Amino acid sequence: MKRREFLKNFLFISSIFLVSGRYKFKGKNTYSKKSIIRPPGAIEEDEFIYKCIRCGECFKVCPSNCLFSVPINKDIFSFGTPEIIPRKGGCIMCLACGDVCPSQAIKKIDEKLKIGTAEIDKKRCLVWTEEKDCFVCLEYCPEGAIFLDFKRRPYVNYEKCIGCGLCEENCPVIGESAISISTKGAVRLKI
Amino acid sequence: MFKKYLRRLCQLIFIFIFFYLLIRNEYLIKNVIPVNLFFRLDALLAIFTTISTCHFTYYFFPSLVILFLLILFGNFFCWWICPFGGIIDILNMVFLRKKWKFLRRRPIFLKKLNIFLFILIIFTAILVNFVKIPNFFWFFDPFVIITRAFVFKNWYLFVFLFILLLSILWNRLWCLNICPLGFFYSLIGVKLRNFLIKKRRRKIEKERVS
Repeated sequence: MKRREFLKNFLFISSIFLVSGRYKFKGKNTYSKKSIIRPPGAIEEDEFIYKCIRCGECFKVCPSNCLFSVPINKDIFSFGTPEIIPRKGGCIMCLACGDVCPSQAIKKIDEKLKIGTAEIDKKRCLVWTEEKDCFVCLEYCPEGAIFLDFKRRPYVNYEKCIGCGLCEENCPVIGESAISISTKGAVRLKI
Repeated sequence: MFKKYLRRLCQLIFIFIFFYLLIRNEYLIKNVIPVNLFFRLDALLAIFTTISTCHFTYYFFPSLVILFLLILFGNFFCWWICPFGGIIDILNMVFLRKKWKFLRRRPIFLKKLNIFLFILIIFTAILVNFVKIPNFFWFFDPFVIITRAFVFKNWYLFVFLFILLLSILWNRLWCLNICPLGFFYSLIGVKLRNFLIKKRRRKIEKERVS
């Protein structure tokens, strides 16, 4: 390959990268913060997408199989990084992902960290809509963040909830769960 | 000949270690060897994450040791340690016979692809500090490819098998023409090493003359 040809190809591919980045400057955009629940111990999103090398070690070690690879159509920047999909599997907070991460995009931690917050969809919940005696979320919550009122309807204590997603995983409502996890209040570590 | 067999044995040991760690990773048992050992030895990975996030993780310290050893002993990593290279080498030994001379000429467009990829990776690592661009570096890292191939067992496995197929057709095509990590290690272990040796020889000659 001649030098001129090499430079031409180099500039062409670099321009593709630049166009796909849409010239957004660091710190100003909120591109990949759209409801991607990261494993406990994950560093801040801006650094995470570059620190994470997509090696797949965390997927392999996860005993509850709650980690999934972010598809390219969800977010091009986070493509291939790990995300928790609580409906498919809740996090049991074993913190093994932090132990195996080679680049420390998921840091090694000793205590449980809040990765999100659960919210009850009162239009879908069996207790709220049909007044059935369903306490699955209450039974599965390891933190005791779900409590009942005097009419035995469930509520979430947002301060206690760590967003593990075990409630969403086990919710008996068919299709979309009546209790869902959002990234609200998630603690992200500094680099 | 003895060295060749020793190299094969060494490659087999590291392939075994790689798969042992991969299988062991499924169980939450503490290992003497860290399960992410090969990623820690990956200097290109260390450089990319360090430049792009402006932060060095002590986990990558073994890769610096490897760089130092490369200067001392030459590019031993690709030929003795790398499990990806080891698998390719063993496949070459089995399939690539001397009769298949028609496939010995490498495709021209792949001739300097590794240099191109290496520069692109370094360039993007610098660029991400100013502009947001997707991180596609992991597509070209041999350890990421081989690990993801066995973790997900979907299209990554096909990528891995495709690379193996290419390497069966052309002797170590991936290692010599595509792998950016291999290029970086050869840059340090061969080019830089030769440069330092020449420099040292010149210095000794000058001292003798004077």
